[in-house]
Amino acid sequence: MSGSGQGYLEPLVEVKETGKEIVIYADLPFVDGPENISVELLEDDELEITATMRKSIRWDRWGAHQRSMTFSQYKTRIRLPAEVDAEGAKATFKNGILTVVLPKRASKVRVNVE
Amino acid sequence: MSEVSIVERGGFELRSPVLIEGLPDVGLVGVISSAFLVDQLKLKIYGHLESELLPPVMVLHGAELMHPVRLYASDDGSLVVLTSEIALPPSMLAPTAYSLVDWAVRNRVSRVFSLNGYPVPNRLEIEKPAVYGVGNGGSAVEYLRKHGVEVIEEGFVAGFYAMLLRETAKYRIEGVALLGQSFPRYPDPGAAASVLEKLSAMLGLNLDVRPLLEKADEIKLSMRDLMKQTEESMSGSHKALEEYLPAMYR
Repeated sequence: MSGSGQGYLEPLVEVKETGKEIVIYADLPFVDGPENISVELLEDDELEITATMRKSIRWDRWGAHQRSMTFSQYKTRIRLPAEVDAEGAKATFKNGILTVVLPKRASKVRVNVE
Repeated sequence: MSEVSIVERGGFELRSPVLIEGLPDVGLVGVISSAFLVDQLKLKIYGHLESELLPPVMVLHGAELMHPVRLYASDDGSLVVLTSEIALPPSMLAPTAYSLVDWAVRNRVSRVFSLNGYPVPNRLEIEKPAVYGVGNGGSAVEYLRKHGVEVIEEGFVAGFYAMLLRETAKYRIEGVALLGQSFPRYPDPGAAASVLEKLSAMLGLNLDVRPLLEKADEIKLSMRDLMKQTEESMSGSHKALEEYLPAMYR
């Protein structure tokens, strides 16, 4: 049995949470620069990363069905562990790694002590 | 049958070989390095590991059915390399170390190297990863220092190489680990290149590691699934301890 198709690759992703921020790292081999990456904050506290590779990667005879698959994009959706402040979000891309820093939405309320 | 057996194909005459372990761990530095050694030094399959603790998996390469955890050797019998295409389950780490050291004693292994990554949080800022060493005794530490490897003096080491260092020490085989600063959770060909440069200088292998850096993207992509498996396996082998400080003070 054989076949061919196109698909998205899911990148390796790491989510770290500190008291004030959520930091997301994504490993994006074959991606040239920030102009090839899109980061979107979706509803329901999800972050979507898509990125275009500089060349299509073709895996021949992939899996038991001898399919060939061609990948030219990464795509992943990450459920965020806390609500974030979209305005303060920052993203950088260096050495093939995307870093997205999302400040957590302030939920602390000061209570006066009498 | 012991829990892990080393099955030899035969046809090699080992001469007090150096054993190099490159099993999946932090940044897959060991796997990337051992695969590079097998390719560049044109090593041949020496044997494989068999165990009921292994997942029921075989690998196909060019239609040839192969065991996923394999040993390779050089024609002159001076070098043996252990590599794996799957993550070893945590329950298999100790029995593998026992069997490997038993094999090393019987085959008069002269020295054991573990090639591995050392997780650093600021890896993104590091252009050329440094290589640190851990020795299993005074002479091993001296050997590392003699070759200009900065030795880790305090901290935890965890995972297969920690067991291998412990077991080799028991049987008085010199054991050293070379650890390249690495991404903890991404395949890191740059860290492997640094480790291999150091190994090459120590053993006089004359390796050119540039292909590793030139093919970094390709390597990272092809190792993606193994990295996912390895991360799951590492969570059961106390790897997180490597980022902690030990409690003793002096």
